[in-house]
Amino acid sequence: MPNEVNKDSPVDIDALLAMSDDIEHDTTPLQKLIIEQAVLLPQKTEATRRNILFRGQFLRRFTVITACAAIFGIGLNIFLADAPTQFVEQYGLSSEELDFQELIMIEDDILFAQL
Amino acid sequence: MSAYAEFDDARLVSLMKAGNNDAFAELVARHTDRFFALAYRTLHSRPDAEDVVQTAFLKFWERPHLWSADKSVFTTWFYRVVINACYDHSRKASRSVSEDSSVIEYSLPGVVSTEVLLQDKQDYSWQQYCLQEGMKRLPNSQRDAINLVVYSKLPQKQAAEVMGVSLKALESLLVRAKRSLANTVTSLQDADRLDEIHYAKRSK
Repeated sequence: MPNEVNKDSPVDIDALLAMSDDIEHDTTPLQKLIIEQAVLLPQKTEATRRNILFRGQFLRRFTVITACAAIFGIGLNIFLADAPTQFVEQYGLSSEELDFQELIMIEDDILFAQL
Repeated sequence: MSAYAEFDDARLVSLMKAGNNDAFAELVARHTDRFFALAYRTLHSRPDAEDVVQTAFLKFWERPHLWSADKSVFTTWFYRVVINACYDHSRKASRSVSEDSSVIEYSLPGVVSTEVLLQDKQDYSWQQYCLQEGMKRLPNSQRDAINLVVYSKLPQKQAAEVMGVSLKALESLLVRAKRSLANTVTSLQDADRLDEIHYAKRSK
């Protein structure tokens, strides 16, 4: 056996590595298979990639805008719900049966009175 | 000889990006051997190595824009792709084995079944068998360093680039890998000698 190494010799790793660097394997069938399969697979071209990127970007922007709108809506709702209470506290009025519209009118009256 | 044989890799890939099958076929014919050899030395299984190389090439066919000639040489980049695909393949294999409780033993880098060992023992001379066993026991980075520099015969600079480490780090990995291999081969030989003595005593 040409590659046989005496078992009792000191270990020479470089020599051993050099002796075992051949892999006998015919890759021709594998090459054929890869090429055949490639013909069947659609290639994701640059145009497709850009299209996918554009759609991704659009989706991201849409999500951000929707989230911002939702946060703004919630904030506005809280502000409006809280406004009559603040007004009542500010002018020492009873809050019972007062709605926001009435409060606005009262505020106008007070302003005019001050003028 | 293919009409594309004289084109360099970058030219072939640019043709491939335009959907040219023949350019892809030339690229596959040119490089399959070296990438198969690397995959085989990483996975220690011919069918698995074939799977990995096939998947890597087909993914590249689908997305040729992933490689840019400005960033690196094609082979440097694809060596990295193949190594990553091998580890991915190993992880998936180990996961599927752990899900199947009926399978007791499985061959992963570093973990070798008895059946595989016996099969290997018939195929290699004893020291080569010990060397292969040592390779399987190496940490991934050290095994990659040996595979790329010693077996794939890449210049150290290119191998370091493939592995994403500095030249110094690669040199250090090679030294440590060779030391580990020498230790493994020596210990396996010693164990074998003890077995032989034990066997001789019993047979008397």
